[in-house]
Amino acid sequence: MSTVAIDPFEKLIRDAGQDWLIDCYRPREKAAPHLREVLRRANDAAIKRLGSNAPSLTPETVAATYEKNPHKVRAFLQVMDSVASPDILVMVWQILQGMNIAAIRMEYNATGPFHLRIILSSPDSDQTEEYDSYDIDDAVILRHLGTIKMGNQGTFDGFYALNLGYK
Amino acid sequence: MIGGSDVIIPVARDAEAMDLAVRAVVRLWRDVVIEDANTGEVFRRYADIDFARRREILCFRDPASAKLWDQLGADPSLDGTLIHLLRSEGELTVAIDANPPPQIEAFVSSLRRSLAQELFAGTVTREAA
Repeated sequence: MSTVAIDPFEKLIRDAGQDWLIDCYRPREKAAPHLREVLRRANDAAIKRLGSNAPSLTPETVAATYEKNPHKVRAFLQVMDSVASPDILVMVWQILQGMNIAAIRMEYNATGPFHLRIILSSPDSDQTEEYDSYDIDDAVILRHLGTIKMGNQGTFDGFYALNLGYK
Repeated sequence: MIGGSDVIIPVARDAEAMDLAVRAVVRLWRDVVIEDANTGEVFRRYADIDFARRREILCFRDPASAKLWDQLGADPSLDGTLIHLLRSEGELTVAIDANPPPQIEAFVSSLRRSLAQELFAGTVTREAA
């Protein structure tokens, strides 16, 4: 009798309660390699954009983050196969790591082009990062943003998993 | 903070709620000192916090306030300089002064509204206007 070792990244996804991300694929065995490729493209995009300051986006670093902050990884996993642009996935990771959302601008017209621009700012410096998307699939991330008011000033803050019934 | 009060906010997922609360405190107080109430570990940045291990977090307004809390404890002169967050299954508790300054009252009110949104809410009871 032989046993098939489960892909560690698939195990992480299942441990995080996001089984659907694997199970929606047929055959299921193709899911983990596909999701690893999504992550690899995001990692490449991070390096291209941020150089030596790029966050590491690998199955290993995602797993390490899961140990410390499982709620953040749940949120990330929920959008990693939905967003269209690797850059937007990098942006999501940066918010999870503490970047502030300085500005959001969305242009939508049913008969025209879509444009989403999000500017992040560092809480520790004047550094900003600008992210643009022209694919409406990337609008999925807007549902995950927390909001809070400070006085009369409303802010988007944080990136959170949707409540899909898990704890 | 002598005779403080606890504001209990029902939430579906307490780690996410604690996360948002800390992010909000960091916006409220730019020089905040964040401390694990159980272990004494201090965090100067939100990014450094491993929320999976944190059940009680003390947020001091600034390093000077944190130092005075160490020296004086719950002294009336320190009112409005500490927000104490506790999470448990289905709840986030915000412990504040019994008579908090307007800034803290507004903060708690805003946090409660944010946590009543779909992303965080459990069984939520809204306060009548």
